Amino acid sequence: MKIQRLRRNIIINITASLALLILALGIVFYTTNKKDLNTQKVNKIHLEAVNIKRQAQELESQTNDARKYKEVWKTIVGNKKNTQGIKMDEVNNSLTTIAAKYSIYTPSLQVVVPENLESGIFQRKTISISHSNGTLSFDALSDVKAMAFINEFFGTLPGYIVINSFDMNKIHKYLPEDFVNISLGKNPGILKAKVTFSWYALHEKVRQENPPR
Amino acid sequence: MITKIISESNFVVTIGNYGSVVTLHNGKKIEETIFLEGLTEENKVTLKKLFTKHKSTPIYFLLDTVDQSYKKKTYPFIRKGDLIHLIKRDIANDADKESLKNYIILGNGRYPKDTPLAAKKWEVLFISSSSSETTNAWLDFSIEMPNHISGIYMSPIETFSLFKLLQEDIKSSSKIKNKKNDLYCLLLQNKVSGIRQTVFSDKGIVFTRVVNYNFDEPDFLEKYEQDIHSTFEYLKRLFPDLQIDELDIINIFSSPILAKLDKIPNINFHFINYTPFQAALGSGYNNLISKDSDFCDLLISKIFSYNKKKLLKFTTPKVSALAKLFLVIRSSYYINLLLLIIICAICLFAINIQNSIEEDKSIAEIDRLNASQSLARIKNAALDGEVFTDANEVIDIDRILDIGKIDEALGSVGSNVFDLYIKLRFIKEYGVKINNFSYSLTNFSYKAPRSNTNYKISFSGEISNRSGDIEDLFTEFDGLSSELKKTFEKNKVIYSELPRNIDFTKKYYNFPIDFSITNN
Repeated sequence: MKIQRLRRNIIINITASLALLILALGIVFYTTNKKDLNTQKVNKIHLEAVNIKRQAQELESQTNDARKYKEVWKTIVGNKKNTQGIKMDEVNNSLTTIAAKYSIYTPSLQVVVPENLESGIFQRKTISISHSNGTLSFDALSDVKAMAFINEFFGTLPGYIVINSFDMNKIHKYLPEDFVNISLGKNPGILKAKVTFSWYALHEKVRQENPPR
Repeated sequence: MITKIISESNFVVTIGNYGSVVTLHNGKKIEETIFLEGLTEENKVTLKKLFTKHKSTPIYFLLDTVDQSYKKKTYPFIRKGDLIHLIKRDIANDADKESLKNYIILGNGRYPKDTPLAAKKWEVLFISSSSSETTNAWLDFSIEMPNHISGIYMSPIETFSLFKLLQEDIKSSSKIKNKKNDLYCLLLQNKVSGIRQTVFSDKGIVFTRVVNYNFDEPDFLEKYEQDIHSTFEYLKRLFPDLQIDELDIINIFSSPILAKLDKIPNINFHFINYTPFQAALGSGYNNLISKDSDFCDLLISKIFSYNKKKLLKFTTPKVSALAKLFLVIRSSYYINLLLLIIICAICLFAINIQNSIEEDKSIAEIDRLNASQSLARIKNAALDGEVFTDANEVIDIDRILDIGKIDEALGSVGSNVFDLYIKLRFIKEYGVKINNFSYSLTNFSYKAPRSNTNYKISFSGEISNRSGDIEDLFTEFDGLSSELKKTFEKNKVIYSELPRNIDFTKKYYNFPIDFSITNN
């Protein structure tokens, strides 16, 4: 009878042990789960805070940039801000007019098909940029006229011009017949010049779908 | 459950030939004492009530019966593990299967280094107690009780604890100096078993026997003396060099009996006398027994009960089986307690973690709120009525940023050719005629333009001495190269020198020149 009672107590105790063990494991599982969930929540909040801070920094940086570039904007001449792209008819007219102004003979402008630039500095919000390689060659009476011609002509082009190379060669010295030719409006062929340049034309972003040709 | 674990109470049932004493001990106190001459049905009812009332209190049996046998046996000096194996085999081979049996290994088996192996031996004291009707009745009764039977012990063996408590006092009271054999003969009177004579060495029990006297008989002292002598004769066999005058005889009797013992004229007997009350005082139990008490039952029971380290446990198969079940129950109690502690610890840990996470969460939320407020402030400041117009047209800030950044990258690249050409105007002052001029960018990439792009300028032509003096030719060339270096001091200027094989018969000279300027 006593043995039966002891056995019953043992069963009760072992059952209690199992129940306590399950309870302990349950608490551990619940705690671990809850800890993970809460940690995730905390991390999410941290991440949000970091994003907000980054946004703030970006905004601050943009604000500073805006202030800086507002001043830059004032110094940029109008044709550089032109977002109409390249209109070759207007360019050719301008070339003829300015060449005549500086007694430039046989001006020739060649521009290759533009390529859209979309990476790096050219990845902009409101404008897209296309790039063309161009070559301008002409004969001039003097280096001063040649320089003035190039300067004025490039000053009228929309967008940005980067002169990659410029070569100017005096073919021969002035001869008496050269002066005669000049007075007759003929090219004495004294000075030959050739300019290769990169032409960055700006376009409104909406027009990016139909890039200028 | 915790009460069961930390409780110090226990029952000690001292069983002797004249009756039994059941004592309920609690720490240093005795809660209850019942003396029973026999285990009658009536007594069983009383005991059942008591045991059931204290069902978590274990029961110890302390046997002080006459039928106890103490036999010393010598074994060869073998390994202790083998010795124990041998002893157990001897016990198992004993024909008497009913008796309670156990053994004590006397000594620790350590001998001086130079002791020959033949002189070394193991001495083992075999103790057995016949299975008496009284003992069996008590065991059968207590097995049915809810209490745990902690074990069966022999009173003479456990009396060694009383001897140890008194030992310091005995040694200080002893008149014997330089004892060769440290032996003590203790005589005391118990209510349940009468008078017992037990011989102890410093290490434990050596010998015991019941010696009953009628103190009122006139030959009591004579019998007492004879018993001491016969004990001495027995001890002589164990300790051949023992002298009777080096045996301390400790009497624990009532004062009248001690007074009678003092009349023994034998000068070889060295008595150290205590009354039971004095022995209790000497053992540290002040209020345990009354001053006029004749018996030591309660004192021995108390010392045994309070002593954590019992000396020698005996058991029966039934008691062993029950002990195993109790062990399982007790273990399960401990496991449950441990689990409860673990659960509490986990809960505390979880609460701590939760608090910590809540703290982190609130810090993160504050951080987010601060960041949001900061963003809102910056937005307000950035958009606070700032509108930019150009030619009365409102310009979008993004457009300003876009054009500004493009201008920053492209505005200054390759546009300095005109300025550079103007800078070279001074060369005409040195009699130089330029035939070729070239300008080129050296490290320009149209896909990733940089404002600090390098360039190279080259020009070639002729230099002449306009004055007709040859010296002027060199002076002007040197002046030209020097000024070029000065004008383009941060650039690299490369040129070819004038030839040295000049025909000095001529007055005017034209020499070709070739310059290149590179910025790095």
